[in-house]
Amino acid sequence: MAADFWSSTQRMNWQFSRDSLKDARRELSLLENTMEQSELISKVKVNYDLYMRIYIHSLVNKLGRRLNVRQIALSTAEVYLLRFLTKVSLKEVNLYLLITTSIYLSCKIEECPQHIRTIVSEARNLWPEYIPHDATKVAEFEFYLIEEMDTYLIVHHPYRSLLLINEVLSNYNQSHKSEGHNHNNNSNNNNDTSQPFALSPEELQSCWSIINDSYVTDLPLIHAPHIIASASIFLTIVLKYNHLKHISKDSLKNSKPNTMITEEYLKSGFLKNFIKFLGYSNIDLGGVIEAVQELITLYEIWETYDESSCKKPLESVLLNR
Amino acid sequence: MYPNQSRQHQNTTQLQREYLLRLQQQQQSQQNGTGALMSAQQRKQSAQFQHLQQLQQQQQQQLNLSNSSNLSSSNPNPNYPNQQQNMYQNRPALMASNNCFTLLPYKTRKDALRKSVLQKYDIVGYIASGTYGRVYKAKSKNPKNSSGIFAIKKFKADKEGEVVYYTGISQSASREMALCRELNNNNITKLTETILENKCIYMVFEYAEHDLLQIIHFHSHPDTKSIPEQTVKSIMWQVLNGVSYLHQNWVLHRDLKPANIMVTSEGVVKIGDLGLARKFNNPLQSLYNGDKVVVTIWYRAPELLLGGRHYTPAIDLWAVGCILAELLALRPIFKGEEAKMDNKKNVPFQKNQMQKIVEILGTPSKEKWPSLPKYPEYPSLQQFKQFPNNLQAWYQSIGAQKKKGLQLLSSLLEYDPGKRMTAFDALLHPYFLETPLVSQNIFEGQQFKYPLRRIQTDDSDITSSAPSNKRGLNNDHDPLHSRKRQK
Repeated sequence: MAADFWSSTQRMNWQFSRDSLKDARRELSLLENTMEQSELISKVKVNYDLYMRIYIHSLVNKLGRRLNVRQIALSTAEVYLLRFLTKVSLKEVNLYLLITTSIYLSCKIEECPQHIRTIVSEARNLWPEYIPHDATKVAEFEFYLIEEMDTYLIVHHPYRSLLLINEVLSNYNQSHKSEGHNHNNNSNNNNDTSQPFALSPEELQSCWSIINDSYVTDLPLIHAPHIIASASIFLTIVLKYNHLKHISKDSLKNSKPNTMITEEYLKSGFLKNFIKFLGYSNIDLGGVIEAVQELITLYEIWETYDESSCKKPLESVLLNR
Repeated sequence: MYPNQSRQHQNTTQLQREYLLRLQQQQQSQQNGTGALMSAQQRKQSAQFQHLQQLQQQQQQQLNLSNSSNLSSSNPNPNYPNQQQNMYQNRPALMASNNCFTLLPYKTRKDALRKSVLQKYDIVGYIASGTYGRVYKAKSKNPKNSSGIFAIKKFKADKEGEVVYYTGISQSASREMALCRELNNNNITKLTETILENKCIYMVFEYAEHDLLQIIHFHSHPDTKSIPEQTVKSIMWQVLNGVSYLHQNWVLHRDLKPANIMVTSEGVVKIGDLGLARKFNNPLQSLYNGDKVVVTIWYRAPELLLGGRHYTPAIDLWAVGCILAELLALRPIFKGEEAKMDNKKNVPFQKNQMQKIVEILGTPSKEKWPSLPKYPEYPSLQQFKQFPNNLQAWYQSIGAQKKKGLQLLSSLLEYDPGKRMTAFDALLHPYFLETPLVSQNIFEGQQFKYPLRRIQTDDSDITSSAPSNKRGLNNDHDPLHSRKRQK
């Protein structure tokens, strides 16, 4: 179904467990080996590791920015890439052509189509050595991309879940507060209004960015959108909490004027409320923790990311075919 | 060590040069042989060849440059190239080989394993064609599914000719592929699989023996009676059920009409042709910008005719109302004439169609439809003569009697899209609760022998790309807009 993740083809046909994903990758590496032995593909080592995926992520965003494509379409394109690369080796295809094709297709599926010639010419401006002039190559690749995904093209993203969770969270916090009212008198009314019920626009923005980053990892292949959305909220709040704690320690020493705001935030217990909320909700907590860990690993790896180490092996594979 | 490397370097460039020379000779001999008849592919090859040659020259120049710079940097012995040149050698060649642009070796691997349409299905014959392409009746070759009969929809290539190129899948085909794969409801035609093969798209659907247009035609023959009430009701209920499912899943059909509503031989309604359908939960782009004109003219809702750009699922319910009227009257209720688009591709006001609606439903008023003055074509509407609502008279004139039926019809043909009945509510309408009751098989309790779908068995060449003379398909050269509904 198009509106419901639970009966979607994404869940029914394109969701992996950690083990099944590992199996799929093992099979692919076996295939890669045979192809190497029969000299169908280059023997240069090209790892599809987190570094490579950060590189892919950056390429998608580069082309997306040039075309002014909406984020959702880019995220769909990244899911297509994740799916495709569970079945096909990077060395078999031209990654740059693959990325161009994924964006071309995802724009159509997300109802913001771009003309094929526009996409090809923009991609060619970015990667002249890898993108052919003639658009038929992208059009041809589109067939293989769709076929490889078994023609399942509709993708559910955590962005909508994020807004839904925020709505529920706000209701939960509000009802929680009104319970408090019954016990206490209405005297601390002023205090209540200053406490956040839901995520602020900046916090939502941060969640949104974390979700964007999740497409570098395997999370979209393994977890439901609401799990990834919850993980992004968790990370946002914790990061902010830690950050503010840090600031408040500093400001205590320096007695800076913004102490009040941070103090209030720390006292408000928004983090506590969120954790309570997670406990009451039926969200798979194991999944959320896993997602949080995977995202933290990603950010650690990102620190040591070096573009050229991904670019080089691809270059030698593609240009020496 | 240095000289050795330098020789290697020379060897690679030499090899490249030799390769190019050979290619050149080949090209020349081909050109001489075929002369003016050089095929497009050969031309492309030679263009690529020229490109390669240029690159080669560039490379040579760079090489010379680096050599000269070596000299200028007073290298004591030019025969022993210094580090700089070695670096050049380690750099990848500037020349991207042809293979870089193709899908090889991936393509080879995939093509070798793919089962073709003809390996999977026996084509029985040709059914029909439309703007989208052609439909064939087919039998599964799978022994486990030997009774399986299918309708295979083959999308038309954007340019029909002897050579078919990949041009990118049209918006309409990608929508239909994506949505049909996702949707699963008994009243929506079920997609079995999509085969992408040899630049063509084949969508394999379950086969439906009848469609509403054909059933209406059958009854409009002077000797046959009108469609039994129970049949009409059962059809309507199942159509609404399918539409309700689509809307609950944030899908607008946007082309509901009798021809797009199939009926299987078991009497189950199947809504088909989702080529104009789209998701509307994530409007990255306004509905109007995506498709300027939607819904076949006779079934087009007034808000669309008045130039509304932001519309709702209510447009599908208007079409359902028109279908109900057509099932009862056996002819379209609003059979207007379509105004053609002008050369500048401006969307014209469909005056005649609006006139037909106004004549039966009366002139819409601000009081009953508050947002009416906001529609772009409101001024044109004001020039119309005033008409009273004649729907009841029309209903009696076609010989229909049931009051609840008229109620349902008038709530589906409500001018204000905000007040128009939703599919979900319509399913609970009292009309469906009174006898005769809705049946799962729309043919239940009646004896009509509807004719079987006509199949042209002499035309079963599904893989051919050349248009045969029989099929009068008009060419449409714009891949993105190959599906403008201008009926």
